[in-house]
Order: sequence, then structure tokens, then C-alpha cells
Amino acid sequence: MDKNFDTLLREMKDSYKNIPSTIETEQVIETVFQPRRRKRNWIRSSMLAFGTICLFVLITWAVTNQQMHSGDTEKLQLEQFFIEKKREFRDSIGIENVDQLPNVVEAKKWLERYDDTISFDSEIIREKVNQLLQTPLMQVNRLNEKDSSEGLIDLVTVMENLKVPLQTYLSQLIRKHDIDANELHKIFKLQYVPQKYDGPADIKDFLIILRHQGYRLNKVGSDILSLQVDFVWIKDNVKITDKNEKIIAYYELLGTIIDRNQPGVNNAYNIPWNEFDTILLEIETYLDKYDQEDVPSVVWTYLNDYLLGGREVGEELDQQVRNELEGFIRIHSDSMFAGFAKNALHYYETNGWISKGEMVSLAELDAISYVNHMLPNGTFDYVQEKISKEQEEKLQTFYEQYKLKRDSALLRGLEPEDVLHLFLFAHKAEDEKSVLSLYAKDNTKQVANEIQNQQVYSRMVHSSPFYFVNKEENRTVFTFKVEMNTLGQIIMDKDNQGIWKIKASTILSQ
Amino acid sequence: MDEIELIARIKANDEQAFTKLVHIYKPIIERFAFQFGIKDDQISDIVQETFLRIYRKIDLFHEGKLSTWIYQITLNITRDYYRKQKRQRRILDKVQRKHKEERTNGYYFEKHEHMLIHESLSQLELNYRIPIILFYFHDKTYEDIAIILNIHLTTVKSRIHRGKKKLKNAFEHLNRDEVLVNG
Repeated sequence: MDKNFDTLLREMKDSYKNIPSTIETEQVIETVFQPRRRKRNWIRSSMLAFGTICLFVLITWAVTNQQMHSGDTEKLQLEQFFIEKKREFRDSIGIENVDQLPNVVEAKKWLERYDDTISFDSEIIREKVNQLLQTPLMQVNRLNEKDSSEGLIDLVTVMENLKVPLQTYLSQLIRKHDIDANELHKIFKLQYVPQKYDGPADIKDFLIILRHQGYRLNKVGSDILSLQVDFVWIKDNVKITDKNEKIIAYYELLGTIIDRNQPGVNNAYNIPWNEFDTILLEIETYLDKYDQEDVPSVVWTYLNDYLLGGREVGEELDQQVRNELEGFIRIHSDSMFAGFAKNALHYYETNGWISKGEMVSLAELDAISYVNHMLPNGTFDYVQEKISKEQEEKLQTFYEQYKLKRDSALLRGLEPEDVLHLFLFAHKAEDEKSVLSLYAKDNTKQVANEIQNQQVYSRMVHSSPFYFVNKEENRTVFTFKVEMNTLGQIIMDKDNQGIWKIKASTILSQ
Repeated sequence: MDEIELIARIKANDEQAFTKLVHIYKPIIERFAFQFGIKDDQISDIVQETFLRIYRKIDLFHEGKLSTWIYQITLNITRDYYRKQKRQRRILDKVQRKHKEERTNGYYFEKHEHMLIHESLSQLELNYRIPIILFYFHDKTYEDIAIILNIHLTTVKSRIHRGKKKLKNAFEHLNRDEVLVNG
């Protein structure tokens, strides 16, 4: 047996000693000996609670009695409200002195607005103070009491709002302790196991606060730590119900593989470009599972970076990119993204393997999500972009020639896209005879109705700048998004003389 | 306090003696569960359940090494948790697992190879994984392992030998992939 491997195994024993503790000894003892202690403590704590309540009632009565005889009761109540909210905030966040935090300063300013010449309604002030002095933990507890998906959005809002004050606080700590790059890296690495951090105690405490309140640190360069919402924390702490399951599932993706702040090659999860197929397929699974049409816009960056091999514009693409795209097409041929991979491969093969700025537009991504949602086989072979002016002029010239005799022989050798564009020229020009001649013969009975139903062609001419094309040997289908929840399709068949003609057209609405 | 006195005092419900036992064995149980492949958030449950069982069944312990007996309890509870752990087959798991390990374990291992071995270990069948963990990471003798697992001594030796081979193959495979991806 390899001695080096044996040595590695033996070294692991010491390496495993770095594993942090998951539970304190006191907690274990408490669990084991708890039943006996609970009985003794109950009486003691009940008496204490009763005493505290009595004292509180007495003080409140005394203060209230006094206040009723004083001037501005409302203002006093607002101040009490602020003090109470600040105390709750401080207890929840775990920072001893919160007075300098920007959100607390802001809440105090709202209190002062009561005395302004343009005074605010006290209810508005209470609402503002309440919003500013929320912690994620407080919001989660509230959320778990009621089953609501809107509450989740409120939670993320609270977390985003608190990011700034906490970021400020972190910056102060870093300055206070003159933290260098090495120490910063240590703080970043140990953020999930703060008990292992052996630096300044207040930084260790702050890392614990971040764990409790649902934040994680991103490292930007070598000298900046940036606070971000930890979506995995949300998933772990919010009770999952039927109403919020879909959002929580998406948050899980945001917390593990999708970086919504820096999507693509610069993602904070350090996922390399050649693993972006995983992200795309997970999104597709999510959309299918929850029957969702629209693709999150962040996917656009991941898709483009994947198809561009993670390279900058103008860079040469190597064999790895080719292998990756071919692999994706072969293994995930039924994925809604397979068509884009095919399109990219076709582009590189015909234009040299050089990265371009964008392989998929937002509009194309938006459209494919509808195709995926509404059609059983929601994939395609390539994207046909709207023809260039030069191509349009050539086809126009050809059409002028064709319409003189409408000789089918002239159509031999044309691609289905060319015949389709001829058809659209004829339709636009209201050239009925040319329109009819470009229909497949056995379909002429339907032609009259179809010409009546001009919607598809008008929309094709005016709406979509591109079509998804599914091409087989004797049939080509053009699919395009007309508007929300509406797709258009034109089907073309090749006859036994090798000429492409219109077979049928349809509008698909959800 | 020697082992015999410790056991006697625990049997007499001495909380201090039990606390000492927890001090000694808690890190061992945590490490074992982690090496076994238990998720981080479940390790503390295993620890609590193990000590609860030790406390409740201490009167049944009469002979042999205390540590062997504790390892047996730990193994049984850990195995139960492991079976209950839902195995996700989605490809998300591969990426999430890898990046979660970096997130939670990145600072544990002194060498990157150690992290790869840990990952390879998680892919090994339990029959091989457990003896390797006990032998290499817990300094258990073949005899101790035979008692803990209730198998023959020769079986222990052959499982460690075969398990090491499989582990090495898995490690080399992972190492090759890492070099390919990251250079």
C-alpha cells in the first residue's frame, strides 16, 4: 500500500481536531438532568415572575397617574414607544450600545419630527420607528406565527435595510482593531464557525450576531468584507408552508448557487463557468415544479457566461467550451436551454471560436420560458434572428421576380426561412395569388380561412425580432412570442420536389 | 479519578462525574459523527442522544472497556441518523455539497488533500468506512474494532485493507478532477 497515502490518513486524525464543537457541555448536562431540575425551578421562577409583574404594575400606575396631569401625553408615549422598541432591537441584535447605529439614529430623528412645524401624525412616526428597529430574528418570529408569503418579502426588506447599519458597525470594528488583510481573511473563513475565531472579542461577538440574524460575509478583493443576506438562513428559520414553499425554494437557490448580487463568472459562491449548467438545470426544475413562466433575469447572465465559456469579448474559446456545449446538448437535449447551446455551437462553428458580447438576449430568454411553459417539447434547434436590411433587399428583389410567374422551380434550393420571408412580403403587399402559391397544395381548402385569420402573419411581421426554429428533414416549425401568454407558430413542409411551403399557422394562448 | 471510580460515581447519579465524562467523550462523538458523514446541524442531536442513552443504560455496563461501550452506543445512534438522512439525487446536491463543504469545512482541514480524503470517505460503503474511521482516526486496535462492530478479527483486517484501496482510488479520482478544473 502507498506509504504516502497512509501518511495522509494518519495526518487526518489531527486535521479532524479542528472541527468546532456543535454543542456546549452545559447543554448536554441540561438535557440529561433536565427533568429533575425543571420541577425545582418552576416554583422559584413563578414567584419571581409574579413579583416582577406586581412591581411593574405599581410603577406603571404611578407614572401613568403622573403623566395624566402633565402636558403632552402623546409625545411621552412616543418616547416610551421608541425606548421600548430600541430595547427590543438591542436585545434581539445582541449589540450592547446601539445608539450610534444609523437605523437607530434615523428612528430618533423621526421622534423629533413630532415637534417640527410640519408635524407628522404619531401613527406614522410609530410605523417608521417600528420599521427601522426590526431585526431579522424578530421578523422571522412574527412570520412563523402567521402563514403568509408577503411576510417573506417583508423579511428580506428588513434584512436589506439592516445591512447598512451592520456594515457600518463592522467597518468601525475593523478600524478600531486595525485589522490587516490576513486577519480579514480569517474573519471571512471563520464566519460560519465564529466560536473558533480567536481575534478581538467584539468581532467574534459580531460574527455570532451575523449567524443569528441571517447574514454572511463576502470578500471583495483582499481588503473588503461585504455583508449579504444569507438566504439559506431564511430557509432554515422560516416555517415552510404551502403558501411560501415556492419562494423558499427559490431562496434556497439564491443561498447556495445563484448569486443575485454578482451573477455569472464573478459570483461569490466561486462556482466556475463550466458548472453553470447545474444552475440552469436547477432553475428549469424549479420553474417546472412550481409552474412558473418567467425566468428570473439573473439567469440571463449565467446562461450567457456559460455559452461564452466564461470568457471576455474577443477571447478565443478552447476545446473545453466545445466539449461543454456538446455535452450539454447530448445529455440535456430536452432542456429549454439546449436550443441556445445548439445555437451557440452553430455560431462558433460558422464564425470562428471567438467569444462575442452576448449569445442570448433577454427577449430570447423571456420568450423561451413561454415556449417551455406552453409547449410539450419546449426546446428548439436554433434562433432565427430578424433578417438584415441587406438580406431583406435581396429577398425583396427575388420576390419581385417570383410574383411575375409564381414559378415553383424558383423556390427550389431556398431555405424554409427564405420562403417564409417571401410569404410575409406577399402578405404585407396583399398579393393574394403569391400568398396562395406559397401554401402547400393539399392545404388549399384551409387557405381561405387562414388568409382571413391574418393575425399570425401580422404579428410575425411586427412583433418578434426572432423566431425559435425546430428543423427536421421535411418539416420546420417557427415559434415566436406574440405577447404575454401567447405564442405564434408557422409550420412549413418540404414537398417531394424539395420545395418548402406553408402548411399551417396557429396562435397558442394560455 | 480513574475509570472504575468514574463509572461508580455516574451510577450513583453524580452529576459532576457525568460532566467529566461529557468533557472527555463529547469531542470524540462529534468527530466520529462528522467523519461518518452526518450533516453539521444533526451532530449535536447525536451527541445529546448518545449521552442520554449512556446515562440511562449505565447500570447495564459491567465489564470491558468503557470507551468501547460508548463507541458502540455512538455507532448505533449515528447509523440510525445516517439512514434517516434523506439522500438527494439531484445534481444540485453535487454543487451544493461541494460549496457547503467549503463554507463549513474550508477552515477545518490543514491540507486540501485532507478535504478530498474526507469527501472520498463519504463515498465509501459503511462496511469499509467505519473500520477505517475507527482505526485511523480514533486509534482503535483491530481487537477493539472487532468488539465494537461485533465481527471477527480477520474481517476487520480485510475490511480495512480493502477499504483503504477503495478510498485511495476515490481520492485519486477526485484529485484528478480538481487538477483538471483548477489547474
